[in-house]
Amino acid sequence: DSPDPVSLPIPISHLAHRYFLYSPPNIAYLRRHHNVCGVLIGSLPQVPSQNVFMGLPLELMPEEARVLVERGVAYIVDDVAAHREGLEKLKTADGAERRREYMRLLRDVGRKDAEEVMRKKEEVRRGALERAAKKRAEQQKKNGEDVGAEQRVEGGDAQDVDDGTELFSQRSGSVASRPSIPTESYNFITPTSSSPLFDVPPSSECASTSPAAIPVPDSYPLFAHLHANGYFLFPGMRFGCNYVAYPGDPLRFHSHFLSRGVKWN
Amino acid sequence: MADIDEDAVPPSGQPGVEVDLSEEAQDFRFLANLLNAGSQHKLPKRGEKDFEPDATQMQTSVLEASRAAMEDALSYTRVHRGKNRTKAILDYGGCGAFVEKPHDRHFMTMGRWTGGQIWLAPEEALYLLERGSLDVQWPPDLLPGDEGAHGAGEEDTVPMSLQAAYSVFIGMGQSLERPLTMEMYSVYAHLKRLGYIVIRAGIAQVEGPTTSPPARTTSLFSFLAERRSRSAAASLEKRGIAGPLVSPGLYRSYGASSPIHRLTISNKMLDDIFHLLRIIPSHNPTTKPTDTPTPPYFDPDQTPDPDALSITFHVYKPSSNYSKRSPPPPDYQIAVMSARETTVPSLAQLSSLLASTPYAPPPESMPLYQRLKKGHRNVILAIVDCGIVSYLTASDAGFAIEGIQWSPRKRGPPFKRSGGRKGRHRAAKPTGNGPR
Repeated sequence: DSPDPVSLPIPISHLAHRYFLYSPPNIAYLRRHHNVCGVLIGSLPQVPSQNVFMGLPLELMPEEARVLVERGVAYIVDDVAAHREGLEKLKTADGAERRREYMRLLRDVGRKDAEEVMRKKEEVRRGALERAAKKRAEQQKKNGEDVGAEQRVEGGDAQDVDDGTELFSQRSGSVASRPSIPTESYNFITPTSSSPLFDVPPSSECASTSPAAIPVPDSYPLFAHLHANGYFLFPGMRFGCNYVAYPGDPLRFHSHFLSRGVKWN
Repeated sequence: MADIDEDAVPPSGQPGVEVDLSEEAQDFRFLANLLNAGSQHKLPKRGEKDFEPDATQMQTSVLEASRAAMEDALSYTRVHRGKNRTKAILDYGGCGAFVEKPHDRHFMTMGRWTGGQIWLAPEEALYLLERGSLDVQWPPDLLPGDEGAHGAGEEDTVPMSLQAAYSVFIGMGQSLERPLTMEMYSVYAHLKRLGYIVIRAGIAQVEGPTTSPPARTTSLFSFLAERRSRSAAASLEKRGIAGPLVSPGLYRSYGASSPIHRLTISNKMLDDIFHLLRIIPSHNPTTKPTDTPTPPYFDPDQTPDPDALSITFHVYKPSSNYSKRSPPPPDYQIAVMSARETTVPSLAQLSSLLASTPYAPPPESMPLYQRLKKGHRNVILAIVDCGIVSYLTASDAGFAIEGIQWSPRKRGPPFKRSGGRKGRHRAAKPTGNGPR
């Protein structure tokens, strides 16, 4: 029901006999419509020193990759070959244009981030200045109530306050008039996915749409059966089984049972 | 995931209540709490989960919120701002990365100096890139940047994406002499995130621990142990092959208080009824492990056993005063295994793996059960199943020499001995705290 801006089939990166996904929309799409959740294995750059919330990449079990390829919603990309070949292609004249385009894209993201950072800084400074002004106003008020004692000192204080406010208005004026950031400033980006620079279409030599090319363990029929019945499956080695079966998205639901494939014949 | 060791666990809220949040799928809506808290030790509370889908609007909307929060968290872009940026150039041939100006605390324990630069091993480069601390660039000769887009003197290199880093450091490195496997990286990153210092075994040669136990003549302990076993053999001969195990007589001694005490009064030991009943030869971990059993199919003329396990990582506690130049003996040694490609290790595999670890007998002051758990040698097996790591300790425990049959009487108040009745007898060899 929710619009997923996903172009099918989805590329699954194949690397060292493992299967990975790098694109958050694709991951969300597979969770919603194909009850495939995978395991997040990377560090989350926002909070890198913990193991509770994990980040990209998302690793798929070979069983999951195979189910998705069988359904025709995904295809396998040999990531090593794709990057090797991509590097060669980028050396051509056509590649140079793509490269420039890619860099422009990254710089745009970096510039937006720089603007965002500047804007936040400005907000913080403005907030601090306002607080300072308020504090001074309160101080002034307090001093005003405290009339009796030292007229002279109080007068000096008032002078100070005047200076302060003047300074403040001057500053805020200059902030307002100054262009918020120099246009050339941008931050450096480490993109998550190699797309669009190293994109590989399903028709490419590095890609494969054949499910038989994905080696799966003997427990695959069990996996396919449970998956077809709508279960979300997690790898279950730590519980001594093949798969932990969840009745719905494990984000929301407790696991119902553990399952173990036993070879027949 | 089992904890590596009780004393290495970072401080958690309540002792005793062991809830490992990393064991389950987390509700990403709670990540915001973590981000705002600003403290690493404050872990989010376990989210409430439902039993099964009940098709209510409420449930659907909560699930949708969780999914949206997750997608949002995953969509974060790694940005290197101003002075915080550490730049590295990919070493494509050697599959590592060179850092020119390391000014990050990470480089206290990572990388090595080569010719005025720091060279990062693939796991180090990938880990730093993944956590957003390193900006790795493609080498300009491999993938030139956008010339002339910047002013003169500006760099024109292309940044590596996370995806490219995985495919280069793990995928392309497979042809190298010491490739980084995905299993190794999963374990490496997991331990690094916990704060441990992790070094690939064999890269920095550790001088400290020797693999052979101290010479037997110099050790009073082993001397006595040997003497004891000799006299036990003598007593066995005395009673004859067919004779009664316990010859008629008066027996009053049911054991002494501590192993050392027992050994120094070894003559009395002969009277010990338990000792006389012991007829099965047992393993002694204080002996040199030269006589490790080899599997019958193993031919010494052939190449080494492809299934042989080896130490993958040396691990140091975060608090240790680790120095890159002269690394101390490691706190833990980890062997990485793949759950999908290997089976439960055989005794032969485990024995030869343990033989490659330094001999470190448990200190005398340690309580009996801890001594058994630690063993005379120990190694941690990290078993990786599709990115999920379980840790198991395997140790060479001296069940025979520790004297587990004698109750640890003088080690504490009589009714407060730790674990005597609480089922810790379950500790089998190899002891392990198992995947929980």
